[in-house]
Amino acid sequence: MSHDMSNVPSSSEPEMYGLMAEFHDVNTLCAAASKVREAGYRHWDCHTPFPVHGLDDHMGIKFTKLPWIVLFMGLLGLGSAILMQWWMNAYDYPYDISGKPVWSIPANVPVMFELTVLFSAFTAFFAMWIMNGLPRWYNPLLRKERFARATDDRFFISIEAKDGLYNEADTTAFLQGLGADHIESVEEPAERTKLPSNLKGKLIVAACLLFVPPAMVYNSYGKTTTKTRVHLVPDMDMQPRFRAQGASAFFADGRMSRQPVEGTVAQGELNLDTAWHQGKDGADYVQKIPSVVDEAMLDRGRQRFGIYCAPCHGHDGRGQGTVHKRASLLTDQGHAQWVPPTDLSAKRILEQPAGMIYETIAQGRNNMPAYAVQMPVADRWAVVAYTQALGLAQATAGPSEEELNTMTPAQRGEILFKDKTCNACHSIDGSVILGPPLNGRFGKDASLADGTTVLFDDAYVIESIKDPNAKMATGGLPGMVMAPLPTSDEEIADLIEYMKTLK
Amino acid sequence: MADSSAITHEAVFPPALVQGKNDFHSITETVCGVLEAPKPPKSWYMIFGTAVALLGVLGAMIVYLIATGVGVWGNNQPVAWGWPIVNFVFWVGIGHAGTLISAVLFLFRQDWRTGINRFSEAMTIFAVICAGMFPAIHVGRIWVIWWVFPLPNQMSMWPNFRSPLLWDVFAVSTYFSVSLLFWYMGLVPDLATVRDRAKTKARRFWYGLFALGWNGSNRQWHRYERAYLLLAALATPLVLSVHSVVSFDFATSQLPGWHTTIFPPYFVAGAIFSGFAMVLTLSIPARKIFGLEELITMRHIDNMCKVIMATGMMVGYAYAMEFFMAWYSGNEYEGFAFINRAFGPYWWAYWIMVSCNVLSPQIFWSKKMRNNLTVVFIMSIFVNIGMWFERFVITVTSLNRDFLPSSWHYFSPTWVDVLTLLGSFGLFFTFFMLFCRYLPQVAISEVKNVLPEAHPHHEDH
Repeated sequence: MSHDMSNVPSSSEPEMYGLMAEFHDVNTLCAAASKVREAGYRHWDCHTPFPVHGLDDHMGIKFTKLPWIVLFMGLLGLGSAILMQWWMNAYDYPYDISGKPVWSIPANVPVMFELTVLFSAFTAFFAMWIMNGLPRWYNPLLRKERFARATDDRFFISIEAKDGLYNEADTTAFLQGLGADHIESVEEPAERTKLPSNLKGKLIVAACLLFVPPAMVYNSYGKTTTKTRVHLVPDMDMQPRFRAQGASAFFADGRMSRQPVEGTVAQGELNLDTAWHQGKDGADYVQKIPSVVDEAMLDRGRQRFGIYCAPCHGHDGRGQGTVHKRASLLTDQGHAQWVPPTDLSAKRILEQPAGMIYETIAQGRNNMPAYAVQMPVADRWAVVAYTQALGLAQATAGPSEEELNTMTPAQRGEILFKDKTCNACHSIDGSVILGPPLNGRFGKDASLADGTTVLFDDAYVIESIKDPNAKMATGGLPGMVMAPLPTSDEEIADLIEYMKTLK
Repeated sequence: MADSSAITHEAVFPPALVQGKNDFHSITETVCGVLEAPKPPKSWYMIFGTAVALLGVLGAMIVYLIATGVGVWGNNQPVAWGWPIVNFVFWVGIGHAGTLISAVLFLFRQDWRTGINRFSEAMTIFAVICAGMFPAIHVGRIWVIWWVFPLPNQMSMWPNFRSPLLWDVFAVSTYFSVSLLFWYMGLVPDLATVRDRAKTKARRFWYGLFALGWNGSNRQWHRYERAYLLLAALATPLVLSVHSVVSFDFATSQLPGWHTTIFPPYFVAGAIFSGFAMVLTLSIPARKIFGLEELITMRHIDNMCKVIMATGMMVGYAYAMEFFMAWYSGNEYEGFAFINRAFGPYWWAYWIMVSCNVLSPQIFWSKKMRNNLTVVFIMSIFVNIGMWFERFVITVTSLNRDFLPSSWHYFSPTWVDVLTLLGSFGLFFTFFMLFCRYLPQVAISEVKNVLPEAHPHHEDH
């Protein structure tokens, strides 16, 4: 058709690119495309200014694999987002945000979503161009003036010379039969523009230069320098500020330092009341509790004492608490070493200054641990008050049950004699208070008010304590009667032993 | 059948998407004619000149800001987020219509998108550039802005992926990248058209370079269309996610007035609302100046008015629901925040917002008003104003009276704030005017595709 065809000798056929046929409407194009496909051509294409729907079927184009590539890369984006966030925030630099777990998926979903979309979209875009063989700025078709209408209002079919069925004359005739408006042969250019010869060298030099900045960074990695740093923003790095002892023209007193606001407590000055917070006045312990001691305070002290102190010191403060008993047992069996708790009614404790007891509670002493953590300051003083009251009460109260157990019956009887107020009526020195004196009576006959006598023995004493007026002895003031005393058999036995010693 | 004279073709079918006697070639001529004209219209010079002047103002403001510090703005405690964030959300919102029109309407097979999609995609990209600028300059020390990205730095620290502000970095940058790809991909066949019509060597080189050697091959169209569909399918959830993430900046905080679950859908509806308004603001003058009335028809404008009305009512519903929840929750702080919003020191801003966004679009119930370009243009400006005030109301009224009454403070912008906002319009319109002059404003190949003769008849079937 074109003038080129007649001029091209058959020996230069490899320089032919192919043929292009022009159509003016989509219907003819689609019908032609079907025919070309049915004829068995493989290296051919249609060129249209817009995507013609249905043309894919006419041409027999297989559905692209692009969606699968996009899916794969999208999942890769999702995986990368998960891995990146886990590595950065949970592994390499764990962030503690309000005590939340360092790795929890919900907070990471937005970035996971964005990276999935980003990877997918970039893949859809770039993979599409790569699969289309673009960018390819050179194409023999684009040299043809008529072909410019392929992006405007005309439709083309191109068949390449490399196709096995291609034969210039036959294919031209074939295309003419399909209703093409115009058919033209397309040549490869006789000579291709070559790249500049020194380009390679320039590219190598440029590539080498690209390594210079990273090399400089690597060279200074992890090193210190004595050079002054560059201040990009001097007014941010070196800001005007007040110095503690500096002069100021702004304030009336000419100083930069200001006094704290009235009524405020400076940091670190909250515990300046050492008597209250440390139990010390200078180097010495305070003698008395530095606050008013009232019933509420003692109640609080007893309650706290029952929780923290009684397990070792016992509720009576004598050092016979449950822990001590168990520890003593283990010590006896050779399983433990145990320093017994202090008897809080001991004289040295009663003489201790209040501040020292406070310090013992706060800091511990010997093997007693510190209770500063468990007990706030006011509670410690409350326990000091209760301890002092308890010690004093115990010191004046007579022997403890433990001590009673170690005494002889006669010693116990002597104490009972006072406790049961026997001594209010009976003397032990022969004088008459109300009742008859009890010294030198045991084992002898005692005369009774009815004139008879009875042997002053165990049985008589037991009977006399339980029913005093059954056999009233003489020797006391006349007309006196004795009230029965609630006394156990063991106590009576102790009293009897005591009476035996009274001469 | 014969005398059903009452039922006309127009009453049953919508008007054609391309008006007038257009064929493939005349569409090419109309669109390419704009950028092939030796000189643009006078009005182009006026708008471009103004825009470049404002861009200069923006540059000066940014230099002043960086050289001095963010103290030049009105931001201060308790309103630490002032106009920069208001402007950021405003521009990001505008940037939503582009992808919505390109992607969502594409998936829903709304052919009317073809007339306006190129336009609104360009608008999206320029709006997102304006948006991204504000948080970037807001950080104060802009030379360490790269710390927001997960790159190794001298502190051996990584970004905190639990922060919504970081999600924002990922969402907005992904959105910008994907929108740019989408826009450029749509441009390639049209750039090839311009290349093939080029009369000068420079035009052939530059348009040819960016046309990537496109030759309309149907084997390439096949993958191209598939990739376009995939991008549309990816951009659709993306466009919804971006403004949701922007709303998380507010919603995940504990501040009354911000801490609500309604924010993501509410922000997305508002973004579509403002984006469509901006498309109208731009397309009504552009179609007249550049003679594109037959491609961007009254049907397009009518449809956009309907979208504005629908999204305007969604936004109005959100405003009402915020008040309802503030009352229904029984939370006295939340209740105070909303009473303060409507009747506090910023009552004027709240009622500007309500009148512009909820009341004014109601005029579009009338078809007469939808077809009156002057009314539509004025309404679109109202919506732009209203949506800027929405972001102002959300940001400033919630912050200015927070938990500590002793720190309550009435926020006022400085002259730098005002000029930076104006300057951002300069940036936007500079880009937009360059786009109008040098790139095809309408997607040529897509519009050709909605012509009846673009579809083959299957006579042989």
